[in-house]
Amino acid sequence: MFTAKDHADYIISFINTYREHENAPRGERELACLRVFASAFFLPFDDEDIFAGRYRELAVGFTPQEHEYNGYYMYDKKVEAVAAEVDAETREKLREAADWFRDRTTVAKTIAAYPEKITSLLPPMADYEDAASLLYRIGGTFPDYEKLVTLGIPGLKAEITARAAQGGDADFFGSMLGALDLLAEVALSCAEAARAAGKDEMAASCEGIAAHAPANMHEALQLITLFAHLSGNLDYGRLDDILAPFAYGVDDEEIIRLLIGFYRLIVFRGWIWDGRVVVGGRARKHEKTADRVALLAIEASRRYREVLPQLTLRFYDGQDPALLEKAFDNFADGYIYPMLYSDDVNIPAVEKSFGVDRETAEHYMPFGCGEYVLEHCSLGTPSGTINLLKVLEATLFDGRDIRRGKQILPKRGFHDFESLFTAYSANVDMLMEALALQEKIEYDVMGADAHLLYYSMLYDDCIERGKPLLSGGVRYLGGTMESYGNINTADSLTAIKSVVYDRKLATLDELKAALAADFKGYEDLRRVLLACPKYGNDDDEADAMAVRVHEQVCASANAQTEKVGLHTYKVVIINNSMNTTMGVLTGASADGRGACDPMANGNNPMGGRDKSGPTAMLNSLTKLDPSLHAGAVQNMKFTTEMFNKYREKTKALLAAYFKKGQQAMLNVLNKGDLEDALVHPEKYPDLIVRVGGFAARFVELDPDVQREIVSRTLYGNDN
Amino acid sequence: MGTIISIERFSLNDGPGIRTTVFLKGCPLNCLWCHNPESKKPRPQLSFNPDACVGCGRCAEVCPCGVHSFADEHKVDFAACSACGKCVGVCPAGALKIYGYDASAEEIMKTVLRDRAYYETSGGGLTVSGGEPTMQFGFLKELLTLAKREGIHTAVETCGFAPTERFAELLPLCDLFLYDHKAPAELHEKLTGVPDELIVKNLAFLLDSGAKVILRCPVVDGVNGTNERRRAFAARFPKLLAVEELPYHDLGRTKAKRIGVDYPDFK
Repeated sequence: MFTAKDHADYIISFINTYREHENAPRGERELACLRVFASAFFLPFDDEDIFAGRYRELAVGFTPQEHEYNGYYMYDKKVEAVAAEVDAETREKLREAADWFRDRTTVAKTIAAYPEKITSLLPPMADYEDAASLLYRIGGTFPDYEKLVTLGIPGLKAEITARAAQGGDADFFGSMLGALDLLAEVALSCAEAARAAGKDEMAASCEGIAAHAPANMHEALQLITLFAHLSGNLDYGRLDDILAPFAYGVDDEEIIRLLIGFYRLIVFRGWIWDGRVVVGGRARKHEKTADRVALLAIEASRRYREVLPQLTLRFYDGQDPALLEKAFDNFADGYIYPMLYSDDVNIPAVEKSFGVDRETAEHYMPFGCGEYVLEHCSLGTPSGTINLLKVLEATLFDGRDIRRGKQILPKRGFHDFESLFTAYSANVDMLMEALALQEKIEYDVMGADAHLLYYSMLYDDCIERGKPLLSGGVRYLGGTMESYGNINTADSLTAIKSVVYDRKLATLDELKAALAADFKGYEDLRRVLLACPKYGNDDDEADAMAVRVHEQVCASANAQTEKVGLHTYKVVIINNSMNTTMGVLTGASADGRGACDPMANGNNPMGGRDKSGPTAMLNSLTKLDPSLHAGAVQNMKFTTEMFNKYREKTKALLAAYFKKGQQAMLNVLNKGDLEDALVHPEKYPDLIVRVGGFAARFVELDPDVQREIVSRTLYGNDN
Repeated sequence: MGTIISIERFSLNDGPGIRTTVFLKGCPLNCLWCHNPESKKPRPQLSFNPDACVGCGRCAEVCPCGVHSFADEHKVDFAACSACGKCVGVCPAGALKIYGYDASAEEIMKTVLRDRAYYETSGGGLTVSGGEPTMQFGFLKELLTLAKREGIHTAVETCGFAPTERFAELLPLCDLFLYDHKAPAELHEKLTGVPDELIVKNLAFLLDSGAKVILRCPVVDGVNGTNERRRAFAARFPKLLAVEELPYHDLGRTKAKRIGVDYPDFK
């Protein structure tokens, strides 16, 4: 039982440890804090768990990615909640500690480092009201788990010890060794608890990994689990290849049992925006055996049927077709995973976008909601968002947000369509510069604050160079930002160009009045705007504008790369449910969308506006060049009937799409199920849907998000 | 130029693979159960959906032919309509539309070619349907010729009621015929408006010439013969690739009402 008093004592102890080590070397401080953190972090297992690793959320701590924070973090509200439940003396100590720590969290230090260029334009914490927002996290990491399970804790220690003997940063090496000892201690304490509970398999593995490199698949998965939870890593990488050496002689059902046990803790973690398990694709060391594990991983996901892990299937021409076939079995069964990624499109795109050679590009990994990094050698955490539709709104209204009247961008004049586009672009560029600068500052402050010991030991080059991840260790330090509203912006620009400037059916002032009034009294104008060509119909005019908007925002991000000193700075069009969140905060738009209505999801057409069938919709999608950005997601809804009755034709549809299309997330649904689930949620507890870059049980979603998903076009065989 | 009703992409039921089906306007038959009554007349025509009409009267204001009147309710004089489409542009409710538009074969092919990648992965292609595509014979040949030049698989869906020479001309242009047979001989004229001799003759001609033919039979229960009759008919033509039975639906009834034509109660 972890009482409020325990939590308070932990918080005080954590902060005091930090305080005692405030001026100690970074590694020493990080390790000392990690020790306190680990002492309170882990929870007992559940009866059905076969792996140890449950944990609790703590009000303060150290981790690369908390929900709103990174590094040394503190949730003031949680601290207050704890304070409210403890005795006066403890409360006073707790508040004193929190007051002292408040300015010393990594986020506080990051914010303090912002120049005027950022503070004048963006609020420090995201509320998504403005055209751009800042986020704090070192997310999207793929530590080298193959190395972890090959060397084990002792092997990694040996490698670090050997490197340390050659000289270098003793604090860095010494604290990494200490972090591995801590991991072994955590394993042993789990073993003790497991032994006491009669969980011999769990106990044996926990003891085993503390002493030697994993000897079997259970030990390998146990080590990965504990490492991931203690390090804060949320995406797991190429599990099929990592586990392949442990698969020999293990029968299929046993592997499925282990995988479901592993998935179980991913579901427990509840990071629905992460939890990537990747299978298939080029550049796997043990392809043939890995294919077998991949098939079992897909089967395990179908049986377990949960919102996590975000199982991801990479495939290429020449790969064993059984993997894609297995994926289609899952879809036909109404399950959403795996998501599909075409290596034949993605590898050349990543090669170009990241400026790396083909061999390196083969190691691309989609993380989180769909951003790409290169496994254990690059970072690309998304630390900012932009709402392009809000940028266009402010551009039209002299820099103001029409809902709040607030000046969010400078006033820029324009007199024709081209000068409007120029003004809009200048606003995008201005925000992008601030966002990129913030990303670099975030990395620098995080690096100055901590070594990120666990990541450093499993990221290429760090040990060899003797440099921590963010202090010259990681090979490619890149950044990303999330772009939203792209499609509504494009459709709005198409309509403005046609209605105001080309056909002159309304003046700009009339259009602005209509938007400000949310079309009330302007129904005719709205009809004209809605009738303009829309992206998603393979229409040259509408799609060309979508391409233009896409290229502008991608180029705007790319242009910041050298200015701020990153290896890459890229747009991602990943979309979680932010299209709905931001849509609620965005006024009516010239594409005919009403005020507060959701925006289109990712690169997808606005729901219901793609009226020309799936081939036309897919053709529109593939016009947006994937080599300009670092990931995009496309959600598609198909009927179960089509998948079952026309399986070969549906496969052919996707095969053609994947000649140019990089990615697809398929929802296969019975016609009317979503609508019926709104009325009778009790009948659909297991209806899992893709939202954007994550999945959820439909009946548990926010009503606005539910409506947005219902509004998306459902493709069947009778369009 | 040809007169088109619509182009349907991702068509899954009109031949092998993923196809684009182009519906040409005009049909020489007059089947009682016609699924697509808007395809019969060769020229464009107006459709009016009274359920969507808001009674604003804007259509009447712009109509050069006095088609729309609003004495007590919105009445449409279909006979007077020239299908100019002016009223469609001003209708705020989307209650009006024109079935049919003129387009060149090159324009149509531009749309067809957009889905070439899908034809290649699925073994699909172009299907020309209608109406009866041989009614616009020159245009049909033009379309098929362009498709063949692009290496695209072609299919023609036909009722078979056209001079045999036309089918002879189509042989090198058409990879697959979707050939309708709608009723037994003794009922054919009564139910479709034309006797079946020419249709049966053309079917035999195509098969004797080595054409690939799938027979398609609408099934209107209790009206156009029994399954046994249909199967016995098909059995006379052993070279048929397949026989497909198409279930009746009554979507034609609403469409007929909206274009101001009778839809007989044939059941």
